[in-house]
Amino acid sequence: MTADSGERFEEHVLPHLDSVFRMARRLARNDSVADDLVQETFIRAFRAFPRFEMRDFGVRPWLFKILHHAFYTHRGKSRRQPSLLDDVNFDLFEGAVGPTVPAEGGIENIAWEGIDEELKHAVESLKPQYRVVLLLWSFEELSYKEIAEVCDCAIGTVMSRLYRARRLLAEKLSGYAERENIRRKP
Amino acid sequence: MDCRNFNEYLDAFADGELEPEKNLEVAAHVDQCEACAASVARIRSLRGCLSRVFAGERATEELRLRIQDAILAESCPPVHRFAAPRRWVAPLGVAAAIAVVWLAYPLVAQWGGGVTANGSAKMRARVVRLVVGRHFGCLKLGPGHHRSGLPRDADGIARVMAAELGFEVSVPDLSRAGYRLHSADSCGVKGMPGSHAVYERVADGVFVSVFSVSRIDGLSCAHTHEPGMRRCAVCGEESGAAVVGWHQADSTVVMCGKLPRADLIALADGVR
Repeated sequence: MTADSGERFEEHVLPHLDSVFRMARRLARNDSVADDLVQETFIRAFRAFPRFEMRDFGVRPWLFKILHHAFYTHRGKSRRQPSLLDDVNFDLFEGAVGPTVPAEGGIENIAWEGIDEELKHAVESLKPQYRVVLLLWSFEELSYKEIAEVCDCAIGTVMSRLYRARRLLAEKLSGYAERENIRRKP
Repeated sequence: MDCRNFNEYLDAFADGELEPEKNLEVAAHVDQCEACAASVARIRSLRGCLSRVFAGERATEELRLRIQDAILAESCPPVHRFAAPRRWVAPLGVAAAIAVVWLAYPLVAQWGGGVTANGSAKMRARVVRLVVGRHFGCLKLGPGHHRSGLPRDADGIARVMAAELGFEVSVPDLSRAGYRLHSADSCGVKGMPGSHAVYERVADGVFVSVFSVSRIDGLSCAHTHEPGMRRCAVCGEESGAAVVGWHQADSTVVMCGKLPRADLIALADGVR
């Protein structure tokens, strides 16, 4: 790493700290782990920066890709330790319990405005693969192609995860919306 | 018009991800179909709401400094790199930054290694930024934190710290220059212990940080020349704050404050 590339790193990469921080918080759901993930992401990025070509891949997607890998590495290590129920992959049970979206709980019936806290909790309760695509899509405004690069998957997978994430949100929020009488009128 | 033919495209349409031809086709349908137009609006609304919900989250100053420290440590030759602790608190980085740069420069220069004089100058500039960042970071985190058990005068702090750290710590007394001691704490890393005192200028409340770390014998003072300043100096300015450093007794002292460099040099010269 030359002094020039160190300066370029500071100029082009460090400004994205807040974005990486937000994503790490949402992924890890634990402040301390999130901070470690952010640090790990920037150290890995710093080491790889001399080989990084911005023409091929934007800085933010590149950082998210590193964070994504760091998160799953951390998660893999955690899973080798006694885990919380939260870490169980509920996808395994989906077939047994049938469709998760109630017939009347579609996205078209939810008024998203005015339910910020519930929305936040609902997002955090999603499994990581859905949380990631949802946040990259919404907050970070990445394209499907960029999300696919970050997650190392096909664009079709991104689309299906996004579709499912939106509907899971609708499902999680439909009860709340009904109780609070904020469901949209048909 | 059958909405079922378009349902699968509404998400991608709302996100602007359809191919131009398909986009036109779906747009024509959405223009005429109230239900599909509402669905598209809702998808876009969700995107906006999620953005808003998480918009206020920013990395903490402590994390920002911790990352800058880690990157700085990475940028130094491995032989001089400190083992990075997993949990760094704000003041530790100052000692680390000073130690890494001051240790690395003369040795690398002597070996004719990969760091040029120009590169080193750039690195020093980065360290100045880090020290300034630390100074402001510490103030932001709580300038009033005075470590329990430490005396409230410079000599007393130096005495306690010296006994604790095992070298002659220098804590300059700035009281005769119109400052009062605000707080003091220990700072340091493995192999490079030190202290951190915060002074406040009585007249206007400007804070000056004084860091003292174990003296680094390998430090060459030939690379920085500040007009009017005695002997060696590490000087720089960033964000309106100045940094000045020198050797004193067993320690190397660095001062940082949001005041003109000449004023800081004068302040330093007055207490050396």
